Amino acid sequence: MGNVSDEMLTLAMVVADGEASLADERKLQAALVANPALARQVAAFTATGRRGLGRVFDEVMAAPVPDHLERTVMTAPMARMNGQSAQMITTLGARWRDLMASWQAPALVFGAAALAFIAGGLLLGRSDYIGPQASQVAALGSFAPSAGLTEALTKVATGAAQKLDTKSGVLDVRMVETFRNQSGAPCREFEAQAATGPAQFGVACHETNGWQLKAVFEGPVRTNLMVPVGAGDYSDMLDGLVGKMRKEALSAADEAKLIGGGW
Amino acid sequence: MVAFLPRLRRFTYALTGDFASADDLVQDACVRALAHRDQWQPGTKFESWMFRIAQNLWIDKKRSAKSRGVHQDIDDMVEPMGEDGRVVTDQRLTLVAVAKAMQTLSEDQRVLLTLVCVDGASYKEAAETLNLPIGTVMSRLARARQALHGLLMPEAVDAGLVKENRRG
Repeated sequence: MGNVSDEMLTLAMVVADGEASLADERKLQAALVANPALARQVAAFTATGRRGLGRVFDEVMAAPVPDHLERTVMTAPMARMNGQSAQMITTLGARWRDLMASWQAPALVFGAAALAFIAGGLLLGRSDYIGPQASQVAALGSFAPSAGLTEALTKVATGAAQKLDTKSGVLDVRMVETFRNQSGAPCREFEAQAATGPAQFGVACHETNGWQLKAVFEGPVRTNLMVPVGAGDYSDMLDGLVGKMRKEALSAADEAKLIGGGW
Repeated sequence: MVAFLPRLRRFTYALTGDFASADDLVQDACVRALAHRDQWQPGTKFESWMFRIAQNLWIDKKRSAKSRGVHQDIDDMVEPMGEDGRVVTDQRLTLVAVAKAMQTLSEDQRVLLTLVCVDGASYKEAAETLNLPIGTVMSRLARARQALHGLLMPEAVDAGLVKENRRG
């Protein structure tokens, strides 16, 4: 390195990293003519740059992340959880009251971290989730759906929608998917959307006592099942939950048989 | 945050030089970030915030270990994979060689090298993450890379790390 100035060394690095301006590149070219030893420095910086050194660490990036790290993220206590609980319960209450036969959510509403913990490893799907927003809440349990929602779950085919007249307004309930869970019970993922406000997402399974809501989420509006960028926290969790619950997806023909047979 | 774990793990591996320590650091960083998530400023880069948390925890741990007199040679920390045969072993050796050489750099140099050369941050992004002037980032980075290259040359020749250098 002896006869290469610090300024030229830095310039060699900037060029090797592709962060140089045209003027920098010309300056280096001129310096290379005057001092061929500088070429070795450019090569050294290339070898220790993003395309050299960076590639060596691709192996770490590609290695599977241990389960316990994912669980840590999904279950670690979060700041201000207690302070947010009341607000979350209130927020979830408004429209889900119209979709449940009886309102028992206050004891069953959780922030996402607690929800994941209670799910006992169900929610290990990948997510960008970093914490509940004030308008995004979720609950996990077993809730009886309202008569209107029960009818929609029983009769509406995947992809189709049914309007429900509720106390808080008209809800457009759309069936997203039908699948069998690990116990073999038929389940349906659905979403309910009013003209304004956040959408409700849910999963219901048809058990021995009829339809039961197994998970309910309330979050930002998603259009055509696409989650808006940066707003996918609960939708991602729902997708992860369904992924873990699903033993097999049901075809349209199998679903039609169940609808025809009243489940 | 789950989707960010592989990147965070690569960052902590580059700092610590072994998977066990890297995973411990990832876990601690995630727990701390979630416990203090109200301190993250919306509109700022989440990744930079997480890297800073991991970096601070790493420095704390190193200083704590030093005060307790704990030392572990990196050669003892590496477990050969083996099951996938020679190719995997060779890749691991390359990674180990680099990780081992990085352990000889100062903390500041290692963090900077990891941000820019491993994670791909621009000089400006690294300067913002580390709250340093961009000129300091560039001069410190240049020195770190010169030092690393000098350390790697003998091993890098065998591992095929410095083919481009040979061409130069």
